[in-house]
Amino acid sequence: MFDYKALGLKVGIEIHQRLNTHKLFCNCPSLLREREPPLWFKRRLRVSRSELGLIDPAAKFEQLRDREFLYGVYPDTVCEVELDECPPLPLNEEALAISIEIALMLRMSVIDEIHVMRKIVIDGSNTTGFQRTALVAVGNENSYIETSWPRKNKNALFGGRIGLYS
Amino acid sequence: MPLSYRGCARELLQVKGIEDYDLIRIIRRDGVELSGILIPRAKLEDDKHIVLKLRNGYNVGISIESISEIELLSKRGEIRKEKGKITHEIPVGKLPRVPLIVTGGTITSKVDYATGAVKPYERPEELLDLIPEISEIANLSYIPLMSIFSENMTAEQWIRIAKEVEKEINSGSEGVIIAHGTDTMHFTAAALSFLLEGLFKPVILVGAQRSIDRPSTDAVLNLFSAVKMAVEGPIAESMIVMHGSPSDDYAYAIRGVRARKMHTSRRDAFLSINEPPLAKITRKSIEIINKSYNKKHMKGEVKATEKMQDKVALIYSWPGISPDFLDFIVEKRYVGLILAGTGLGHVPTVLIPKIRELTRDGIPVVMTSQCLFGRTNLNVYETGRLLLDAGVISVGDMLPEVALVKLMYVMGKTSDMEEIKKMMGENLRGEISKFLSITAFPPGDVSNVRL
Repeated sequence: MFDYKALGLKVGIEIHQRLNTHKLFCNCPSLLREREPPLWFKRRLRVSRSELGLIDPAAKFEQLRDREFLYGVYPDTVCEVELDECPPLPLNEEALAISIEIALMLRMSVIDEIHVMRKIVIDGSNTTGFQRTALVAVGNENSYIETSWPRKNKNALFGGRIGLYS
Repeated sequence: MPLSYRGCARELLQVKGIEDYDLIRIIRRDGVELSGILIPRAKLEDDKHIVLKLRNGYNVGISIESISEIELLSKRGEIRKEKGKITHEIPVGKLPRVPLIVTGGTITSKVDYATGAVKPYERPEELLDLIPEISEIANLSYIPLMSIFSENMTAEQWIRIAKEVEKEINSGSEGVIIAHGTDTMHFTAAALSFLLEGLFKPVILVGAQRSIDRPSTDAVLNLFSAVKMAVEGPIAESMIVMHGSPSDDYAYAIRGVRARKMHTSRRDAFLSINEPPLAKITRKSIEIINKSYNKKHMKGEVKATEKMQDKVALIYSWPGISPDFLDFIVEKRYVGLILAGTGLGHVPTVLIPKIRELTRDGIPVVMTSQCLFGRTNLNVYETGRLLLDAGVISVGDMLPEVALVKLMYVMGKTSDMEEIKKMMGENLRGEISKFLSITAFPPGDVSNVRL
C-alpha cells in the first residue's frame, strides 16, 4: 500500500454536461434521435500537423489502422456544419452564457478572450477529425463548490477549468 | 522568432525579450497563474490581449490589463524547426511521370495563426507527405509555379500554366496535375481547354474544399483520384477531378468546359453542367460515364496558345438593368461582351439600342443564360428576335464563364467580326452540345446514366 497523503496525491474529476441549447457551431437542435438514420456518409481521416507543426503520436497510430468511418444523418436536425461540409457558424452565445454563469457561481476566473481551437482526435468521434473546443474559465484560490460534505479544503477548485466543446 | 504583436501588447512583451512561440508564465491580478507558448496574434485583432497555448492544449487570450507579472521561461524556437521534417521521398523507377504544377489555393493552404486566415503553405511538399500511396502509382514531381488564390488569377496566368503544361507533356509526361484554388478552377479549366491545341495527354485540375491541416481534408481523395486518372485514364482533355459526393468514396472527372463550382463549401461543389461527368474514379477503378471524349495518345505535340484578349466583360442581367450600365464597355475600351441573360437568353428590351450600337462599333455581344442548364434560343420570343437583329451571338448551352474565356481566346486569334461569330458558335472543345440528354438535368445521381 502506498501512503497517498505522503505522495501528495491529488484526484480531480471531469464532468461532461450536454447543454440544452441548439448545437455549439450551428443552429441545429441538439436532439438525440432513436430511429435508424435515413442517410449515411463515409469518411477517412488523415493525421495532420498542429499549429506548432507537430504530429500527435496517438493520432498517427489511429491513421495506421486505415479505418473508414460511417456517419448517420438525420436531414432535419443535422446540417452541413456537422458534416464538415461548410465552415462553422459563430459560437452559440446561449451556451457560452451558461458556461460563464456556472463559472461565476463557482467563483472562477473567466478567460478574458475566449479562443476556439482544434483538438485533433481521429478516432472518428468527429467528422472533422478534431474537436472544436474553448477554455471559458479557470479556478483561482477562492473558487470552490458547495457539496453536502463539510468543506475542509476551501480552494477545492484551484486549478479547475470550464470549457466548451463539440 | 519574430514578434507578431503590435501596440500595447508588443511593448509589454518586447521589454521581457519575448517572441512568438516562446514559453512564458503570466500571473494575473486575481492570482491565477498561466504558463504556455505565446501564439502569434492575427494582425486584424486588437493589441489589448496576448494569446497563450496552455500545456493542456487550450488557447486563451489574456487581457494585458489583468496581468500583474509576466516572465520568459524559455525560448522555444526549436518547436518550429521540427516542422521542417518531411518524410516523403520522391520515388524513382519505372512509374509514369506525372508533374504536379502548384498554383496555390486551399489544397496547398493551412491556417495561418498570424492572420487567422487560411493562407498558402510555405512548403507545399507536405501535401505529398500526407498521401504516400500516390508513390505506388506514379512518379510525381513537384513544380511550384505560383502561389496565389484563384480569385487573383488572370488570363496572363492561364497562359503561363498552359506553357508549363506544354513543356511537360512534350517532354514525355503521362499527364499533368494542376493544384489550384477552387473558386475559379472552372475558369482555368476552360482556359486550358481552349489554349492547349493538339492535346494528347490528360490535364487535370485538382483542389480542396478543406485545407490539408484538417484530418478530414478532401485533398487526399481528390489528389489520389487525379493522379490515378492521369496515369490510368483514357481521356486527353482539360478536366477537373474532385469529390463526387460528401463521402470519401469517389471522385468525378468533369470536362473543363462543363465544370462549374455550384456550392460555396461542399466537397462535391463541382457539377458537370448539361452533360454527365466524363468518369467516376474510385480507389480501385475508373468508370467511363460519357464516351464522347478526346482520346489519349502515345505520341503527339501540344501547342499552347500564347495570346488572349482580356478586355472582355461578363454582365449578369437583372430586371431593371439600365442601358447606361453598358456605357462603361465603350468608356473603358472593352472589346467584347458576354451577357448572362434570363431564361432562353433575354435582357430587358430597353438595352437593345445600346447593344446594337456596341455590335455596330465592332464589339461582339454574346448571349448565354443565367439558367446554366439548357440552351439559349433567341428565335422564340420577340425580345430574342430583336436581340439577334441587333447582332447578338447566341451560343446555346455554353456556360457564361466558358463563353467569357472562349471569347478571350477567340479574340486573341482574330478581330474579324465574322470569324469571331463563326468560332463562338462552333463547338471547339465540347463547350456546345449537339445533343442534350434528358438525364443531364437535374444533376446529381448518374448511376443509371451512360452516354
